Amino acid sequence: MAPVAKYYKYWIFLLILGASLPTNAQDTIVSPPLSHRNTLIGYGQRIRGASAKVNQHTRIATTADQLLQGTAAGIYAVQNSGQPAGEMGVHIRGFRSLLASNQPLYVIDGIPYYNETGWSSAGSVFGPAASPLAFLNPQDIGEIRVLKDAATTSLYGSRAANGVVIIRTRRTLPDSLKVSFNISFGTQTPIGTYDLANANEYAGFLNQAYNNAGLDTPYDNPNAFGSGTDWQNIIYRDQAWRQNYHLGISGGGEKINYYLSGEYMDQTGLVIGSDFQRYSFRANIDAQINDRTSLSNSLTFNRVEFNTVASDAGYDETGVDVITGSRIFNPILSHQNADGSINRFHFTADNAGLSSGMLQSILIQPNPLLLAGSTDSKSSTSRVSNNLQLKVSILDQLSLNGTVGVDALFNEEYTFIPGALFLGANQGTGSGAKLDALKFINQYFLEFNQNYSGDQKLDLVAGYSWEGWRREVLAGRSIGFDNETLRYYSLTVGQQKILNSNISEWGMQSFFGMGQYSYKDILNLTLSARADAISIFDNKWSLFPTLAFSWDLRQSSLVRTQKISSLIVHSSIGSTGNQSIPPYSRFSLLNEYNAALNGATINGISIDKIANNKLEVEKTEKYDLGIEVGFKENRLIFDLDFYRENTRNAIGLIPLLATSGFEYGVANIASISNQGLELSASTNHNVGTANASFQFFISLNKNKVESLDLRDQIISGLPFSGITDWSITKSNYSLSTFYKENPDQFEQSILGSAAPKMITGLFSKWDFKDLDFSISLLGAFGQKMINANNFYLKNPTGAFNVLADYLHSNITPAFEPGKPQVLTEDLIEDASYLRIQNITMGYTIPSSLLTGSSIKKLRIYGSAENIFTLTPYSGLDPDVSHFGSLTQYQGVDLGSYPKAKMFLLGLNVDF
Amino acid sequence: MKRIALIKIVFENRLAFALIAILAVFSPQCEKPLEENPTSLLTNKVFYQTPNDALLAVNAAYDHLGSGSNNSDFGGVYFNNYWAVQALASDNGNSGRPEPNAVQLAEFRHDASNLMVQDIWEDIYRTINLANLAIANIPGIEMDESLKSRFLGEVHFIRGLMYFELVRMFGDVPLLTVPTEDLSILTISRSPVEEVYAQLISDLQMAEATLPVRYSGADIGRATTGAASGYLARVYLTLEEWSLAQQQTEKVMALGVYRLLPDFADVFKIANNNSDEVVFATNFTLNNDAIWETSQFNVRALPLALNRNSNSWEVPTLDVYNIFDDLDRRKEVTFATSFTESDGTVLEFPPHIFKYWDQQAEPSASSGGNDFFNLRYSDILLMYAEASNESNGGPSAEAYEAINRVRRRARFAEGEERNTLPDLSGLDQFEFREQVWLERRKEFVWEGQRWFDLVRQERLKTRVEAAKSGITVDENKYKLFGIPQRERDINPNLSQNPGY
Repeated sequence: MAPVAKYYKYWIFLLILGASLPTNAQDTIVSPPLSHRNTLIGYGQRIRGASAKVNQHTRIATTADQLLQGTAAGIYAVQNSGQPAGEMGVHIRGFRSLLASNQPLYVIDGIPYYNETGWSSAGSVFGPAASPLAFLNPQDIGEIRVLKDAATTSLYGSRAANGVVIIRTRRTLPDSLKVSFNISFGTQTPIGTYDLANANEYAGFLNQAYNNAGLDTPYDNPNAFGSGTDWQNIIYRDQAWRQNYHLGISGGGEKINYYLSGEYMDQTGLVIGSDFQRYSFRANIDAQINDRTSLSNSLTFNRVEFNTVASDAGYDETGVDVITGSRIFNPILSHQNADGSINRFHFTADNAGLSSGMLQSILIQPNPLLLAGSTDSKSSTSRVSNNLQLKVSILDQLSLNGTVGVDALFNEEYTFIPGALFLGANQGTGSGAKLDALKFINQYFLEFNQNYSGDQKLDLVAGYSWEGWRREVLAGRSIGFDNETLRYYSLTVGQQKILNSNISEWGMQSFFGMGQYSYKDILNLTLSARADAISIFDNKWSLFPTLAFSWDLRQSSLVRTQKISSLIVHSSIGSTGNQSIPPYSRFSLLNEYNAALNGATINGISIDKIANNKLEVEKTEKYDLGIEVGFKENRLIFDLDFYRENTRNAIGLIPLLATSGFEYGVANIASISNQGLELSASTNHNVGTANASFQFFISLNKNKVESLDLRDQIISGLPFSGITDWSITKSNYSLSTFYKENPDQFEQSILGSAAPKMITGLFSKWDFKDLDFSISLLGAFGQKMINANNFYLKNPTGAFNVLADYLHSNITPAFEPGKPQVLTEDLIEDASYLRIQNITMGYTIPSSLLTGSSIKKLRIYGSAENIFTLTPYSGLDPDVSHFGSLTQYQGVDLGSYPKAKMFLLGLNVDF
Repeated sequence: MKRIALIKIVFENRLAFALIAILAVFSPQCEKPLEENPTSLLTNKVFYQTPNDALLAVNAAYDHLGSGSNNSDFGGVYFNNYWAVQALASDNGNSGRPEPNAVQLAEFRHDASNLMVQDIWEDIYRTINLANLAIANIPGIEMDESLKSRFLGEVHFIRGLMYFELVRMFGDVPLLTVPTEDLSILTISRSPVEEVYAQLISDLQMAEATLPVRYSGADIGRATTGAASGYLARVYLTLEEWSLAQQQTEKVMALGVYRLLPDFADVFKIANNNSDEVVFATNFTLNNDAIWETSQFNVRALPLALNRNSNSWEVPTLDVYNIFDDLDRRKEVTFATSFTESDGTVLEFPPHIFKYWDQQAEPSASSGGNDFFNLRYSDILLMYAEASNESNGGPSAEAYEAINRVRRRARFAEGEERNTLPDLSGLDQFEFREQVWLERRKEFVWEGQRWFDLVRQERLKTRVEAAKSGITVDENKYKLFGIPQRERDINPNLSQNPGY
């Protein structure tokens, strides 16, 4: 276990923390019953397998996917960007797909949701993708459970390979009326800033660089500039607030129970021009119509509005992002000159003494404050989801379930970039786009439960469902505004207009069944299968069978020692799938081929994408062996899982013979494996009025490309900083591996992988009388990161501002703008980290003080987020991804919108 | 369980059952939820239906000859690498930049991984597939039959032209005459040269029989019967079928629609694109908003020192510069060694190719509206002279007249006749052949002919070694280019040419 040894310093840190935990054996026992991990997996079924309940108290979450980070073994989540409500890259038990999404399936109240933002966004705003769960109020969530192995995920068939996240919103028990009001208010500051050269240092540096390049030095007296402008701070707001108000009412009686809630979330972004707001309402109603019929309805309406700035890979039409701009922009320049004129660009002919020819070869970096403050990029989405479930008990042992669910959303996005941000004249750009998306699900299943002579039990379920999804977009873009007053509301003023409309639809029909036999609740045998027919593939049907068993060794009296209070072994083997490629991927598609004839352009149309009717769903075989052991009357519980997952036919771009007329086709090309080990431990101690609980996990994963069709490697890479082809997919290496060519030696160097070898998390909660305290930590180890910021910040050409340290290092600067960038080893850094994610302290007003008032409970608390990160990484934050969740392009840090360090005060009141 | 009990339960819960039944019936199920209809994407199902679809399919093939607007690489077949490689791998050109692919070609060190050669291969096969798509789909479209046969003639011409380029550059090549339907062609092997020639000759003959002599209006620039005849002449010349080559050139001359422009300089004026001298040209346009890129002559060939969007990527050898008589109009049009800016600044540089820069029409040289001349009438005349000299055992009066027309035109500068390039006479077959070859070299600098001519004339080694000091040429290897390594990596059935 090399990684364990390698990261010893993190372990010392953890040990010190662990040493402070109570180990007193005299405390009374609050044993978490093992049976609660008999997981509800959906379709009314429970099974024992590899799953984890997500602790919802580990952090301040704006979106529910943030809760998945660092809370359960086997889940590696990356906060791709710090933009409010930005998407999390969630990888359960490793990376397994190339073109298809690696995000898990989200199932909310029994309804599958699309796991990619593309489905709900018209896609014209700048910045990184927003979370696909941005619409969901995390405070409405009753339980989040992550399903990992074949036993627990198998009923989700072709969407189960990446794991399934089951989210159940709050419902109410009979005869309880509760009104709770929660309010919180917080402030945010960036997680860090770079220490850059100031104006006089930069002027001196540039003088040197010009001199070494044989040019006239532009500044006679560099010291006259003083410290100049701190562009990093200028783009941040003076105060970035976050406020949240939530009212929940739950109640009911014998027949009808309800949970109603309303929420307002307002998070101001750190960077000027970015923010996030959500208004959400929910009505969950459960009704017992008569002895045999019950109804359950979940309705939510929400509206999400946000503004973004260009950051991460979400450049705008100027081709640069605000964050990188704030680091490399010329500190000699002020935002506004004394005469009121604005410095639009990093270099001008006047301030840098360059010829127009040389200026052209410099990256045209517009003023970042102007970029953040004068562009528009806004999105608003109204969404209503409802699902109605009816359950009829036909016989005592037999019941019929029917579900109809609708998720309808309407999204509008607008952008505008004023012409002042472009070097050329009249290039102002505006756009508007509308998206209309609808999902429909209709599902029925029969449940049969029979006990035989008390000892034996048989549970059967068989069902049918179909789902349809549709997404329509109407978009317009306009370039060259003669008058910019009306911005994106006057697209007609632009000189060049581009219109676009498209629709995409897909559907799925499924049959599923599961049989569970159990003997005295000691031995469980499960056989299940799901058959999915997916419109996206020509070969529609695919079958996903699973076999699982669990054995309670303690109850079966095989294990008699009193030291072990419970011991359960479970194992499963099964097949799951991943179908998340865009509809129509298998088709041969035509496109425009515009030719020139006699001085004019003529239109042509022909095929530009080759068909592949053999395209299939990706299949992942999952093997899992798990042991759950409880000691000391289950005061201490360990959960150990070994797994191996083989993905057989991952979909990717296959290089074609050019003879075919095409360069690439989409095909099933790769076999990818993940194997690993997961260990979780939890304890709960109670001494008098004090209670301490402790949850810890550590997991190891090894990701490997087993084979590739036709070629032994695929070189790819979305470009950044002028670098392309930096990611390699190659047999025996993990996905998201970095490489470079060595042209002299005709061989490649493999430079590392963005896949972590080990992840860990710790959560501890302490209650003493009316006080509560909790701390959560998370860590990921062994992954590498390309610190692409250093392309600029350690650039010897003087074309950009640089790190203060770099100036003092032994460099010979020489002005050489447009020098091609190459990937070098020194840009690749160890991105292991251990972070104190959250510390929360609360005080509950003693109930004796509340007698006579209608208030039942009153708690005030303070919470701090992203407090401290221990890492060898030299950038600001190792937990980012420039290209978002794209698996082949993980591990790049460039222009990442910084995370917020957040301090928050809150109040919970129950009436 | 008793049947009565079941019925009773159903009855007692009729409301619930009715609700479920209503949900099941009224849920908006599509008729065929799993049939995939790409409503907003064009597929074969909805295309190749109307006469206009046929036109669009033909135009797409033209696109890949030139700008290659829908090409993930840079440009189409005749956009840049084709004529750059023809110059580099000959006695005409050198790389002006330390660009490894170009340097390898210029120094005859190139291997099967050369990206410029690979790009030509890929562009040609993309164009062949576009032509095959049109050839396969147009016959089924209901439309005016004469227009249909013209469309088919155009794409047969393009396909024949593409295979002619391939067979000359690579020898045996995979021969595809149907469009690529799916991924199954990954194991195709090479067809012998004879089969490729048979196919391309039949394509060009089909085009010759169906294409019009001339077009009008917006259709000017499309392939004509003269273009097909002219290319057949070049095919037979390459095959040393002298009398067939002579017949084909005679056909072109007999059409009576072509002539030499009076001044060599006029040929390269943008206003004279598709002039009477042009038998076939790949058209480009200055109007670059809808196509990928305008032509690249100026970007590549003009000197870096010009401080425009010019890069000295390929430069002429002194060997080619020095074969011209100073009074030869073609020398001052083809090359320049200095340039005077509008402010009077004089820039000096080694010889660069200037013939494609129409300084009046494009003073900034930032784009390129010049067409690429696949086949000019002077070529027809010189091919006639050469073929006639070979088939008749020596020059006839007509052969002299053909070559002298080309020389005579080169004597004229803005209407003034200069004292140079006298009419030829009194030569034997060998001397006449040498004169034709020399005239070809002077006439077609940077027009994508030189490597082909040297290989055909079997003097690649002698000419290149004479022109470029320190270079030795393995003629057996370099009379063909290597099958691109990328192709052979994917397809194990592709054999390699000798030496690669």
